[in-house]
Amino acid sequence: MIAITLPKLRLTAYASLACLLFPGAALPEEVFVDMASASGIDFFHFNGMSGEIYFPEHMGAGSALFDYDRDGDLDLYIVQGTMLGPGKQIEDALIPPRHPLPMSDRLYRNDSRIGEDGKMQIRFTDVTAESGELGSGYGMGVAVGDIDNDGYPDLYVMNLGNNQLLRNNGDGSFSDVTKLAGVDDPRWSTSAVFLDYDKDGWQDLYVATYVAFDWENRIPCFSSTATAEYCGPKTYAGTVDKLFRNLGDGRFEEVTGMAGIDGKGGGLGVVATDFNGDQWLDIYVTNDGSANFLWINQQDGSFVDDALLAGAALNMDGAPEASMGVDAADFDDDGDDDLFMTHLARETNTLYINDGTGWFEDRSVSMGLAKDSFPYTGFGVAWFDYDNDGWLDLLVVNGAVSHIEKLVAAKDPYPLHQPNQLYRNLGNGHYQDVSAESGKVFALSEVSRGAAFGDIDNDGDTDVLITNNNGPARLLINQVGTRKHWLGLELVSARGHPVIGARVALLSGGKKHRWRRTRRDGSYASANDPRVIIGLGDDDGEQHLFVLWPDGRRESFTGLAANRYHRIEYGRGRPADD
Amino acid sequence: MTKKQAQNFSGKCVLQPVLFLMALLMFSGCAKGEQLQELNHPDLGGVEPGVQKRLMAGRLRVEAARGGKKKRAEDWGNMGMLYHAYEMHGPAQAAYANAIALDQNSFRWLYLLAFSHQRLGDYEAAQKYYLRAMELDPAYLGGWIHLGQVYLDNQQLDAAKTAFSRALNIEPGSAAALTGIARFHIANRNFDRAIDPLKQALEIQPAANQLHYYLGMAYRQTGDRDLARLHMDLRGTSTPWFDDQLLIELNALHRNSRTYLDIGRDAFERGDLLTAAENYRLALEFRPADATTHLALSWVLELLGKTSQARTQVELSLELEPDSAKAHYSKARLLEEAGDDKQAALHYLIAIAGDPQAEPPKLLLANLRMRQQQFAEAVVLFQQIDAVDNTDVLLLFRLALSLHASGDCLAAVAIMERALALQPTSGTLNQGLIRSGSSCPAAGLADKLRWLALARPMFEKLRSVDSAETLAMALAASGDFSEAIRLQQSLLTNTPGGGARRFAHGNLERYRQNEIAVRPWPADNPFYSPPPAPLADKRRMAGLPPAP
Repeated sequence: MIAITLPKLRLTAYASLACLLFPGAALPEEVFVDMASASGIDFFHFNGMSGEIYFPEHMGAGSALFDYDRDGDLDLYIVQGTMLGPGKQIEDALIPPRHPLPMSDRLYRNDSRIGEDGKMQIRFTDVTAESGELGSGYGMGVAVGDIDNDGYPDLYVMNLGNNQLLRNNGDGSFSDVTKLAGVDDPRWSTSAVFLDYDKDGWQDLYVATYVAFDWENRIPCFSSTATAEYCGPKTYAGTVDKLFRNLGDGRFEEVTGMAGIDGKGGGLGVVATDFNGDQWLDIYVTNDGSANFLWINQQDGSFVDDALLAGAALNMDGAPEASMGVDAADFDDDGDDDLFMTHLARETNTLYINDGTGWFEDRSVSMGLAKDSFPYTGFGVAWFDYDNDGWLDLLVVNGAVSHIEKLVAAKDPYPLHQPNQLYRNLGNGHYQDVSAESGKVFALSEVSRGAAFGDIDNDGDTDVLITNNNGPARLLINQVGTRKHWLGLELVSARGHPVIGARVALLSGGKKHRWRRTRRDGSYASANDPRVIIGLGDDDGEQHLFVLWPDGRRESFTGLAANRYHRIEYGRGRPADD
Repeated sequence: MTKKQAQNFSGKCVLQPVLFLMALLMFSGCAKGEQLQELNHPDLGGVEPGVQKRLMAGRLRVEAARGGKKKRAEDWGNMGMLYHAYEMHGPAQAAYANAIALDQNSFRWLYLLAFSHQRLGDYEAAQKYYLRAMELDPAYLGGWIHLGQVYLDNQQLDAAKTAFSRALNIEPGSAAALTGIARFHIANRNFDRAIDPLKQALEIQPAANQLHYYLGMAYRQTGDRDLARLHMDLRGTSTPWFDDQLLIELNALHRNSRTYLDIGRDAFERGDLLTAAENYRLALEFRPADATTHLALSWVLELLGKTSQARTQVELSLELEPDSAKAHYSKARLLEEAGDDKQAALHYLIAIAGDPQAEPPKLLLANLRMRQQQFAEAVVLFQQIDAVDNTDVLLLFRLALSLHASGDCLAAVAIMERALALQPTSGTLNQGLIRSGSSCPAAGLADKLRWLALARPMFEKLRSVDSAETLAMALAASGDFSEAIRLQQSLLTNTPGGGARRFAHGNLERYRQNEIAVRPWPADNPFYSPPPAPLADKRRMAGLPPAP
């Protein structure tokens, strides 16, 4: 058994040490503090709106937290818009862009350092100009994967229009290999996931596509008073998502039809995990305004949508909802991945509990997650343990998709903004909306869309990058997570490359608990830190870990010290039973 | 003062201030009850004129309201309903609150206020007002059902069950109430107990196919996978219906131009032009400055044959959107129908310039150009129409005639060949090919002999003047002028007067000079001057069945 402490991550020890040395020091008042501006992130989303109320203008955009230069910390990729609409020029923009033209997505390198005062100084440098080819379309979202198994994370950027596959050259730059790889899709897509669905060792790609919006046949939409309003998904036909199989030679083969992926929906979110316990990755897709998909892996390269009988297609009243962002995690600590998804205002967000066989029950109301979400339209979301008490909490970012009556009355120039929400898992089967007591960032009202989750300052708690439509990016640095103990894990292959799709659990008293998965997927239009942080609460003792690797191999790792990251390498643990 | 008097006095001394205080409180209560909320009416700047007008009328009624509390409450309440109908919940709630302040015993306003709060997810307020409303009219079924729903949403399961039970007491066969009971059991995870009320509800209202989903889930949870799947497959979106007059009234208030446009469009699609026109007119009452609706109305009127009214609507549309290609196209059609080809051509040209991809204006202008004998322009237009490249035989035929008339007879022959390939049995096309070729000096000898070979059997079969003329043209083209002359002379005896006879004479003279015919048909043949689209064609273009 080998658990290596990562040299780059030792700074976490400093943070913890500070807490131990100065227990009387005043603890932060805020759960999260926005450090975007202070850390050098000047990103401001441009949606290209010109007053025409174009449907796509309020739908973008997302971001990715990923270590593109493999230096041990998370860098940022933020998706940008362009001027929108046929014949529209930048002069037509109601709100001019704040970045130089031509617009493109932006890459920020994490240059954070421990300062002379011993404190972490979070610092980002905009390296867009020296990064080669980045996304340049009307951007929506981004997914991260390693298409060539070289250990460097690559990007799949989704646009209103042609998508782009950006290969990480390993030298700090990216190359657009879309055509070569054969993964272009000219339709409107927002979220995608890289997954090795056929267990051949190569990451395949599932792209959730939205609706068949068409500039040629754009349909005007109206509110109840017949004023111009943003369209909803039902205005346009849904589209069939795409599945691309990685051939391992830089090319992908589109296998959508062959794999049985045939349902038309308005896909906005996607997660890939094993929902039914057969150790094959399934795919869950949230559709806006139509039934969600649960593509159960048939273990032969094909999938069957079992969402309806599984109880995860519709809400508890049998109605399709406007599902946006999604996450899958074992929030109730029973060993299977449950689902949480965000919805349109007046629909409530939905929590589906997995019974272990891939069947779900909508328990949003009884868990206390319905009522407080009723007024808001949610997008980005994740289950994560912000306070490291061992229970998975929820952060939901909100922003309406149709004009809000009160904001219109107040003559707000972009009347869609809403506050974001933090729900704490009380550990007793209930959640509580703790936004009001969680600091200033939850008093902000913005049109939030993407949310990417990860440990940006490597201190052992989860931070959040929130991307706002027609607004600034917010870098929410967690101020409270390190008050409790934690275990950081980076699961890597024998070649030292991050492993996605593994499941881990703590072992104690012969039982497994606090199941987590290594993933980048979920949320909305965004990609997360693939590392795992398990909150330990007040337990600062050595931990024992169970790992279920994607190929089915089971291993245990013992003697893992709390409050630091460990590199967990495939094949270096002790064989373990179920 | 006796003891008794003293007691009375002391009683009065105590009682009088109490009564005074009570009166004061009552008075202040009344005063408070009448204290109305300042209603911040929403800015109606972005709202369409018809809706504005309705809301302003309601506002004026409230502001000018005089009379008793009941009357004023009515005005406020109606104002609230209007706002509510247009989803302006903030002012709606304030208006309802004023109505309630003026008339605390009005079930109607309490109920609608509760419903508005429910819609916004403010369950506590919804419960409060539903409960107050139901005290006033405990027999109103919808109140208990909505209240039960609010309780369910607020996880107050026992209270929900009580509310649904009250609804069942009022109407034992209420599918909605039975569904509520079933949902109570589902929320309590007593899935087996949910099945019976759901089955009952479905028996009562089989059309409420949403219930199949609940049943499917209940069966799934009880382990009956087959029944679960069966009911899941039967699921739909129709919810159990219950009589709720107040909500019916509320929904009926929601009217705007889109409402009427949608009704009009549906009517148009099923061919009910009168209803379509009526609803487009209503839509225009709400939004008079809507060029698209004026144009839609003009099209319907044109199809109804009311060209003068149609023309008025087109002009109104053009006033609002002077560059609208579609409006210019409509105007051109109407002008053409009125016989003003010159002006019609002008508007077709504007329409084409405004929307170069649109084909109908090009087609109609091409026809018009043929009528004007401007065949070269007609050729250019026909060639821009995709249908010409595909399967429209009539267009190919007209293009061929125009090509021939503008001097490119070889191209005309090629187009006739294409048309004939699409419809080989057409007599007109067969004659068109033979005549076009036979009147084309540039055609090769082999072709000329082929046309002769085609013309002979046609003549033998038909023995008509037309086929004789065609054969004569082919004979001349093949160089057999004597036979052509003989045939032409004989057919002349059977040819009526007018252009056709002149054409036949002209050809005879040419044959006598050893010259071939110059054109396939006489210049005044209707083939060369397609008429403006008749009503039947327009209906076909609109996808409508033939006029009754």
